[in-house]
Amino acid sequence: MTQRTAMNANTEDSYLRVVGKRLRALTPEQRDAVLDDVRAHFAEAADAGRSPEQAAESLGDPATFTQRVRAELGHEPGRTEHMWRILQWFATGVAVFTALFVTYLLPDTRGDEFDEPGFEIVLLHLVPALIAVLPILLPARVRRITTTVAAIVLTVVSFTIFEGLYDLSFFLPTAMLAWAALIVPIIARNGRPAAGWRITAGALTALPASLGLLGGLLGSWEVTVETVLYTVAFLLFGILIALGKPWAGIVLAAAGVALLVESTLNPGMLVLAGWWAGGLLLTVGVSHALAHARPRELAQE
Amino acid sequence: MTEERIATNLRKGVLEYCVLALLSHGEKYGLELADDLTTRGLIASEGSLYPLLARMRENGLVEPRWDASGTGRPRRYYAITDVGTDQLKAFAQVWTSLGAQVNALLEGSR
Repeated sequence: MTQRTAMNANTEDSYLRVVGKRLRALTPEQRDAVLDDVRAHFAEAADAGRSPEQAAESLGDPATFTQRVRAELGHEPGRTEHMWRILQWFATGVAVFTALFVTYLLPDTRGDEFDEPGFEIVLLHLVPALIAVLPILLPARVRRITTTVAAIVLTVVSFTIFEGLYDLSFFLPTAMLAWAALIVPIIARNGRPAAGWRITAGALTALPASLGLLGGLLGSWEVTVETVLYTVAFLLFGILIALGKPWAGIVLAAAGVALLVESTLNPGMLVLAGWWAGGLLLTVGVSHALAHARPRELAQE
Repeated sequence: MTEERIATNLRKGVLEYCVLALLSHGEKYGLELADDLTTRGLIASEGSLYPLLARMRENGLVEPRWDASGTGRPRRYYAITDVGTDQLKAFAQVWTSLGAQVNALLEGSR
């Protein structure tokens, strides 16, 4: 009898151990509740005269069981990977767009002495795009490391001045997106991120327009009705973002892209400020939309 | 095979409401619920019940409690919450009208 009890405890304990280990991505409360269900199941099965092995068998193997739990709670393994992949592709796309901009359009419109850029300059400007796409191309098991390294390198590149290359600080939006690709899947792994994140995102949304208005009020330039309207619109969107509306993120991302394109078409004195603001809005918008999309929407992709 | 696929898809959509309907008659412990559902052919095994209960608990539709009053190890009883009752009522309405529409269509196509 003693031996049998020990064996029973053994089957149950090992099942519980594996389930606990495989549900680490859940919140402690969620995990404890599932473990309680499993404990209760073993007890009820024993009362019904079933052996622990039968009880374990009816739950299915722990890997499948935990996969089902994760799927029901919106923790599909594909979900965070999906976020990461989209952000990494955005970083790459913006890097290519930036390379084209700084190589061809920017020197032209600045009225610099314009020579056809050498092939090596074009290639050098494409290096950030290569860095951004590398984590996608390299094996999945080193993904966390490659994504981290890419974000750091892109940030360093953005703040470095190289002889013969145009302002690499135009690559800062790429770096922002690369950081988002690293951070968003982590903060959104348990479902919607904590409120602090979306409040920060809301504040960042309102930041560029507020700085614009502040500059106007301090007399750097004229405050127009347009400036005020933009500021009010972005403040409103900041609030919607802080409230966690996913669609507000999509609109914001579109506004970011529009601002980036606008900066390439009409590069004025403040071209870099507009470019950074566009990158910031795009990053915050895409991150917010991905992190707050309902699990089902992502799972269907 | 086609029949099984259709049945699986439909069951997936209604399963949580079936759980709510079972609990609306009184609280039940896991194995009791699982037996009810398997007898009715709604789930294949307990393995799919607990993941579903995890989501329903998360959404505030059901509430578990430990009961140590009986002999043996304590049992974990599930009860329907007020939110769960509201959901069940809404589902019953949708099901009635949807079922009637589908039946009428099927009658007509015969």
